[in-house]
Amino acid sequence: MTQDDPRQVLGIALEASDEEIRAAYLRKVKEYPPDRAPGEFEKVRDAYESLRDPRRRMRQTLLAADPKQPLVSLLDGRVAERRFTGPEPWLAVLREPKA
Amino acid sequence: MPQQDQYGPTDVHPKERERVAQLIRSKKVEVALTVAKDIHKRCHTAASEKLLLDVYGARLESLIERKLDREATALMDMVRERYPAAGERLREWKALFAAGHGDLSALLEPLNDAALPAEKQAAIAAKVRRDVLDLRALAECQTLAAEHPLRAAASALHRAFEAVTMGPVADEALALPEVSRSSPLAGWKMLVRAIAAYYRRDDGLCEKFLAAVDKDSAAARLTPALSAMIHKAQTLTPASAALVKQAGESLDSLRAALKMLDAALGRRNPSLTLQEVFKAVAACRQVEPELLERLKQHIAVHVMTLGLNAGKVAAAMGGSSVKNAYFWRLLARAHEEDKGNSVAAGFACSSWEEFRNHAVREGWFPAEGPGAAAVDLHMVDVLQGFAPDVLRGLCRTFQRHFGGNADYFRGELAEIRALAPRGGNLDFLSVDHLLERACAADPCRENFERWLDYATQESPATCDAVAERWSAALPKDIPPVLRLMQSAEKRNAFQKAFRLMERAEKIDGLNAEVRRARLRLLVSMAARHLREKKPKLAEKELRQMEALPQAQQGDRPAFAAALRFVWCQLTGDKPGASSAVAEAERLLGNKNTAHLLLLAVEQWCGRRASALGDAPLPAVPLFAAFGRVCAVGDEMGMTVELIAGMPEQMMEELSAPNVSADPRVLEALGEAAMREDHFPFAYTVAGAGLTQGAESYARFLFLRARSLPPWKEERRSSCLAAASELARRQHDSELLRRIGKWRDEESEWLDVPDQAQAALDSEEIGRVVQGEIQEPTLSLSPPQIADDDEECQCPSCRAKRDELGDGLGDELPQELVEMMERLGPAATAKALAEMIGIGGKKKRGRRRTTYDGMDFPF
Repeated sequence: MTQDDPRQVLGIALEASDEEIRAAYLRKVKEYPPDRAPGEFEKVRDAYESLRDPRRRMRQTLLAADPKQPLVSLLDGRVAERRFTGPEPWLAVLREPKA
Repeated sequence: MPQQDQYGPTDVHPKERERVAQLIRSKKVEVALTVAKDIHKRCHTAASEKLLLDVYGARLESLIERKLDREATALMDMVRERYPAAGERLREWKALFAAGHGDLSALLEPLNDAALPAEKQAAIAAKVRRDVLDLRALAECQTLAAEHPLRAAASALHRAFEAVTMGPVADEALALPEVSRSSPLAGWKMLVRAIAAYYRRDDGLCEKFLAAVDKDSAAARLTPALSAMIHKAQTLTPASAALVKQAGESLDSLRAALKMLDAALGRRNPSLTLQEVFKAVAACRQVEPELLERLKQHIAVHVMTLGLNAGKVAAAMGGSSVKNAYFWRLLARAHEEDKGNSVAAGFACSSWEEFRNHAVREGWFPAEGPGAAAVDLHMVDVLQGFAPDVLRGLCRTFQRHFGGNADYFRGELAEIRALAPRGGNLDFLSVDHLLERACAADPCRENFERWLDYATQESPATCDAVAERWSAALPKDIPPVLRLMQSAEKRNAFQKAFRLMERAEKIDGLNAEVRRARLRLLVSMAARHLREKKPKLAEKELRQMEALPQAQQGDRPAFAAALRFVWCQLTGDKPGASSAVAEAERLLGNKNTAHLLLLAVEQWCGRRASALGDAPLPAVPLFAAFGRVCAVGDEMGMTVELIAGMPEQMMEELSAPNVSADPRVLEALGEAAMREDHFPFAYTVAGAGLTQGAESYARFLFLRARSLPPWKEERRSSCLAAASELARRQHDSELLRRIGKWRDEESEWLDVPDQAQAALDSEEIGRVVQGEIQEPTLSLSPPQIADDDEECQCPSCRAKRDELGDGLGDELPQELVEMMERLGPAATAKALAEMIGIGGKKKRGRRRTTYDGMDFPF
């Protein structure tokens, strides 16, 4: 998904229903009211416009795949996990002799 | 100078003391020791010994921190031997040494003494703050009572520390009321909160808590690692680096591997690509396993477009990618990238067909509904990028060579294999089939309109069949009924046309289109009966028509009078005919327009010779009179033809400055000009129309775009973009539809952009309009081809340039020479083109790709 992907703008999944799309839109509008964040609001509105009509939504889904995108872009927007390790690796730092 | 006098040679000068302290602070213990030893050698006093023991203390702390136990013990033994008075100092050091090994009893034992001076308490607290690394040992230290604040705080911190490193914690677990702000363990409290904030992805808060940890406290040992984890550059010890690796985000290795793979793919180096594929897949499997399948799918499609060996790549990936809906969509899009290649378009449609099946199974959308229809319509878009004869050739090629996508399904899961296509079904290459399926999946007006538009190019019977399907699916839609009515009317099946008209009126009798259709049907029937010289039948229709309210609008009564005039001529009713002429003149307001209308209607009704006298003297400009006739003709279904000599006169009139005209009339004139391909006239009409006010800019810009010669691509694009934008703003859907349709039809041979340019703003539209107004005349000379342009080397063009001449036989096979002699160069070139390949888009050259020769691995 790219930053311009309407689904990403609204923060919804591929299979989101009409109701979910509308709920996400209202949530985002609250987050970015037009008087305070006009730029963001416009993005949110455009994203909603392109998703509210099921036909446009499907067409947008079909064209969303970009076979030419660099493979590294598959990591775009992907947030790496922060792993819980238990106390041991942390204690190892404390036990480590000072240089 | 006077101050220096206070100190003798055996006194330790404060400056010396300060220098030693400074050296200790800056961790230059060895230098400090040398200085202290020199001072003690010189002074040999209790003060100089104390100073030396301070330095030994610092050295001992350093040794303990570095876990150099043997050296620390040796140092303590040496001090015990040489400095018997240092007993108390040695006890402190031993306690510190034991604390470094988890035994805090000696360090904390003095705290049980209620009379312990505050200074000593503070010193122990400082040691706890700075040196105690084991919270558990402190929490379990039996020397202190269980309820001692230090033990209670350590116990709470130990629990919290374990909790935050094991999993998400609630805010209550971080409150830690047992640890006061002044506690020597306060730094641990901040550290625990920083760790919790890190796992909650609140990096700002994490940074804030880290800043609150005392720099020289034991807890501060973890701050570099934690700072590095929130992307603050740090120099890390090995254990800290290990912690960052284990607990931190780690996409960097995968990112680097993917960049290397991208570079290898860009270089089209097969062996390097295979190596990088292997590395990237391994990195992904380790770092981001949930991305692995998607990565393999992208790699598979990438290498396919580069023509690399699919088997080797699959082996490097540790198995082929999953062929699910995501894969097929990606593959279809990859085929679409090879624009202008019809075979690639065929493969794209085959892949979209697979996508459709898999997407339904995977729940992307139901089998029936807008989702499935959108896929069909997209396939239609892909196929309609090619001329019908190219598509026919494509079908033939696929029938001969396409064996389905079976190879893709080898080794796939059973549920995916179950969807593998069977037999040689090539329905995905049939526009008609796809449109039919789209309408079945999503029976809406837009889809049926599209199907009907396509069917219009096929045959009237197909068109009727589609209209019937539309009407059956959406019985309340009027357009299919009117279409069937028009079709019946064309076949002279007037009874059926009337029944259909009544059906349309039942659906919505007030609909403007239906009302217009009734009027046109009656007019059409009357004209036909007049042509067939059946005045009685025509009389009935004329009466019905004259009674219709919609026949009383605008110039329509004059049109009715003109029909009545023809009827009177047929029945020999001369007074009636004169009266009809007079009525037409009265209704139209001038004799010229009436004369032209009567002439046009006479001609339309099959009257070979006109009963009208000479044309009256012109009272209004010809364009105004003829335009009105065209306009009312369009309304009533009568096609008005241009009369020789008239366009030139009208162009002259319209080229005059400050021409004032009814835009509706000019538009009808423009359409008449376009019908007869009289582009200069249409161009002039468009120019005049643009000066009549902003309301009709859109329509005249569209007319201007259509009237421009093929080589005026830029102006045509600008006019179309401006017309589209204005039509959008005016909500003129009918004009938008016409622009879209024209764009689709003409893009086959004109350089018309597939989509409108980015929406123009008002200023840009104004510039386009002014630019067009300032170009009142059309230059029909094509642009000069630059001398350095390469000349076309096809036989046809070379023959035109007389380059084939006598040397023909030297360059071409004898069969071709004979063919050219028999058929001529143009026909030979065309035949050759058909033989060589199935061609691509008419206006674009074909590139050689992996698809040529059907060498693509199915």
